[in-house]
Amino acid sequence: MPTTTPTKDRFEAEAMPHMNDLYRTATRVLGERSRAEDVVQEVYLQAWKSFHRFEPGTNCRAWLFKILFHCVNHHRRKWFRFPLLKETEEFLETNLTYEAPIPEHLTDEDILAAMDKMPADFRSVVLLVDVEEFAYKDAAEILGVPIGTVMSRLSRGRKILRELLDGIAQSYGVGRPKEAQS
Amino acid sequence: MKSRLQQAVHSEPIPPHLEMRVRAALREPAARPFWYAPAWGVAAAAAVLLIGFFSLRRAENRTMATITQQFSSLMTVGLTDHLHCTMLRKQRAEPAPLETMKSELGPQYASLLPAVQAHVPANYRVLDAHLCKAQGRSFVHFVLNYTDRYLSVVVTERKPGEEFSTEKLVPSLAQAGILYYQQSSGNFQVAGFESAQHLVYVISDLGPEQNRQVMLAMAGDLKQALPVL
Repeated sequence: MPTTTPTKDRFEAEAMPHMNDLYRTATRVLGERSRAEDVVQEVYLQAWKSFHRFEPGTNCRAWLFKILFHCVNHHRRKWFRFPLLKETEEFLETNLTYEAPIPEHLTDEDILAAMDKMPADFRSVVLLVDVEEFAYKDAAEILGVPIGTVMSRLSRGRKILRELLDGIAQSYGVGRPKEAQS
Repeated sequence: MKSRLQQAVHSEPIPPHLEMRVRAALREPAARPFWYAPAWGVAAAAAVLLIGFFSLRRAENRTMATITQQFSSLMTVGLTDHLHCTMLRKQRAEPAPLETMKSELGPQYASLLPAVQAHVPANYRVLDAHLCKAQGRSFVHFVLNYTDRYLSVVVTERKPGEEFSTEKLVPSLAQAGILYYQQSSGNFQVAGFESAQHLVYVISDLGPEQNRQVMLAMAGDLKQALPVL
């Protein structure tokens, strides 16, 4: 475990500034703030313990996010079995029929609620690429999946999100019913 | 869309104590060994440990209550032990040696082990067998696993008045004079039957039919091997 002052300073400078982004992502992925706090703490403990293996000059933020998803997956595996991707793909086949417009007049809460309804695999990719602005390559590395999977999940994830947001907008009487848009 | 998403996600407030909490946790492993620490440091560490212990207990109880509320009270008996002893505890990586399991079970219940071993579902293995207590009740507990998936076979002595039929549960199957009951919620499947003196459960995250098949396969041998109290 690293203990020298230069290592501490480097950890402070390179790792600590990303705490808020990690927390927000963990909250969205886990759907619960208290568990997100636990996971962020675990991420930093693990990062600190293995910081001697972190290569200076490489992407510390991506490295921390990789640890984050490792911790999240460990946490989820213990309690819940999420539907296999095959099942979520079936869900998409039956639910994605058109390209919905981006609805207006939606609050942050509406958008977050829609994100929370997305299948976990797709939500993670949208969070990493669209919100945290990681390159596809970094997102693939963080999630431990091929880059092609990241691209297809992103495309489908965005479509799901648009569909969900459109549904919320329609419930407010904004936008057109689905039948009228074809 | 991207900017609206970013705006929405960044609207999530950061708990003011988060940074302090992380920094406190980071200081711990880097600190000197506790026997070098001043007395107040030891006291503070003890307090943190106590608070952590009770917080963990409270969180565990909350989680267990959320899961068990979907089950009848008699099904909850077996499920509670599975949650308490299998899901909330770190499991050993490799199966316990046979002799250890027998000795853990004691002479009264060691005879149940072959009955379980004979009907282990495909890919699964008997990881552990022991006597344990959860919420004041004693259990004979067999833990089976396949990678990170766990299945419990749980046996406990019946208390007066404990009958599945009084819980308005409909038997899912009757075979060879045994009535089988099954309930499921979320990822948890609980199958159970009662003998004259015991309640026997199989709890897993398998599908309802698979879980029932495991119970059916084991029930006959288990019933025969159960001790007469």
